[in-house]
Amino acid sequence: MATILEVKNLDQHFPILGGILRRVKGYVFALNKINLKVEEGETLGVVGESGCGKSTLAKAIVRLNRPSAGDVYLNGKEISRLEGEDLKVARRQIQMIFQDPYGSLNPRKTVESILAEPLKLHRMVSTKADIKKSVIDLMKLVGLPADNINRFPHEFSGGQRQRIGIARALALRPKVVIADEPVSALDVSIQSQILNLLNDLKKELGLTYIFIAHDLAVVKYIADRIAVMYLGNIVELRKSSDLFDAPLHPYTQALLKSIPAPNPHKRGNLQVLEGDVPSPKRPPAGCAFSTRCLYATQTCHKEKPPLEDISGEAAGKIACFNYKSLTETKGA
Amino acid sequence: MTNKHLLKINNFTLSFKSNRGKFIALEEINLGLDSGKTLALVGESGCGKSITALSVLGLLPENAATVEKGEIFFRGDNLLNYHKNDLRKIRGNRIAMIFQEPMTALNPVYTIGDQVAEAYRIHKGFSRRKSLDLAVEMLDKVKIPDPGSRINEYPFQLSGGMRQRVLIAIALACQPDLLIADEPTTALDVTIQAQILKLIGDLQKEMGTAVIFITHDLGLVAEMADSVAIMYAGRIIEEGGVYDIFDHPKHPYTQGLLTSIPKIDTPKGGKLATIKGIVPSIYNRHAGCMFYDRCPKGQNACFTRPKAPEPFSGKHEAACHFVDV
Repeated sequence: MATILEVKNLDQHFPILGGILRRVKGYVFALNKINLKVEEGETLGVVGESGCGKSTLAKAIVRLNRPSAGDVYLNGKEISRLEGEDLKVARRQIQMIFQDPYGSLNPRKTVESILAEPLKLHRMVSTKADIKKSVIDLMKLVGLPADNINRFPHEFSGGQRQRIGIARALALRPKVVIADEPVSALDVSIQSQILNLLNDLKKELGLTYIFIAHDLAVVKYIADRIAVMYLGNIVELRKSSDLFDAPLHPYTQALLKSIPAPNPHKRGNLQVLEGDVPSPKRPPAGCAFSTRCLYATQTCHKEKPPLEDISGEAAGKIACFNYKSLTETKGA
Repeated sequence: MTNKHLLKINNFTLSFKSNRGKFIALEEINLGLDSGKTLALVGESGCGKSITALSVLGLLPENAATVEKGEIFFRGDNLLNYHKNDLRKIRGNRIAMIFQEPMTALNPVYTIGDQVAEAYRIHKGFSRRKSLDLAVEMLDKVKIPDPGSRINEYPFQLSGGMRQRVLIAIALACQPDLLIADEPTTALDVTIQAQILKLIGDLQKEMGTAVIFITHDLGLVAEMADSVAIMYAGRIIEEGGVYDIFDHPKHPYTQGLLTSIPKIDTPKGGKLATIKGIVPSIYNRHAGCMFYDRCPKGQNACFTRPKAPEPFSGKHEAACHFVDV
């Protein structure tokens, strides 16, 4: 499989301005040296708690934010510093589905004008009749009845609105779709409808997904590989099944054990991770997780562990000084 | 028979006025809870979970909500007959509530110490000094580090998890008999959620408080509840012990809910089961089963309303004509 998207040493630091002169007082370190590769046709899940930088990563990739440093390659072409027409062309290939199906659609536009907008802006189709035909095709693709074409967003349920959001993202026939918490605002009985739709569309259109979520069961269901983020860093990146069977990073382990399973026979197994996530304005000097980690050593507090390759059966990447000794002591 | 139980809601029906006319929000709700136990109230948004909780607390908007019929017995007395001032003595004292949004449920212009101490001053009549001392103790109980100096901080200075701890401290200050927790962890991250769940569980054991846990997260239900009531479109459609509900769900809606959530052990890529359609509009009520048009078992018999489950029957019951089909 070919690499379709590559992120290299991506930084996103937001300045904090203060005082009368609006001088830079400090930075929010939202993303720190993020490296990842997305293969064509795969679904990469990104998980982590709020404020860990999941959405910032998505926005930096599609250039809703300008990254502070680093490169983003789409099909081998650097896109993080493109402007004007070049950026527009690149964006055709990479589109985004947003979390909030209520806030992400313009309430004053009909479904037709919402879905026609990207087609017009990118001059994908020219005549009015063609635009209408494309819009109807898109609606059919996501399972919306075509006779709803003149309705406004408020006339739809949350699940249907999310279908409109998905149709809009697919209007330009993108290669890569970034879905930022696409089901977390939906009711449980609707979530599964949308997840099935996303899976069907992926097969039908040969899409590549970056799927951001905090619900691990959802990510496990949909993703091939999973990146776990903590305080602006990727701490573990491995195949979905490996990650869930044998998480290596202490944070991933704690995360998996803090979610109650929908099975009363397994109750009482929650492991409580003490403390709060540190502020991204003053991240710890060493490993970002060192303040809450049960296994942190002197080195962890002083130095930042690099994201290293793991070879062998449990292949993937991990940023932890101690994971080897941890797995050994557990095995013994 | 009503005296035995801490809380018993009988045939409670509630309607709201809106500019599109009157609509029924809760229909013949029967619920019960004994001291020290945990009842989970489960359902999707708009099904009436929170309104049920607000009814118990007497916090419904007076100009819009009308109690059509029914009773809410708390320790043998019908709360619906209470005068406003008497209800105020119970609320925050014998029955307390934790809200979903820890960001907005606290008053931003008072210190957290004042907000916890308020419960002692109002309900116990303690002095300001003594109330603050008790507040420090209570904040220590909910594991807020360094409570002695934290009482002088304002809500904005605390993280979401810490604020939820303050809310729990306020709710449990007077050692209530009943705690209503309305989605207490929905706004929190999973590692913080685990901390809060453990805290609620520990304090419940220590104080013998009964808890109504309102949630849509079936994982939380499995972790916390003794008994479970499933709500759909303003009615309770299934009630039973937590193991019964998860092991042998009876109502097609409950079955659909349990199969449609991806579990940690769901195989990847396979089709998820779905419940077709959407929750019916609140203006679109009828006498039959409200789940009829989404139900795989729907038949003519479903145009009449199935018998609702009885609380304290000790049985696991579902409001469906075809439970054993």
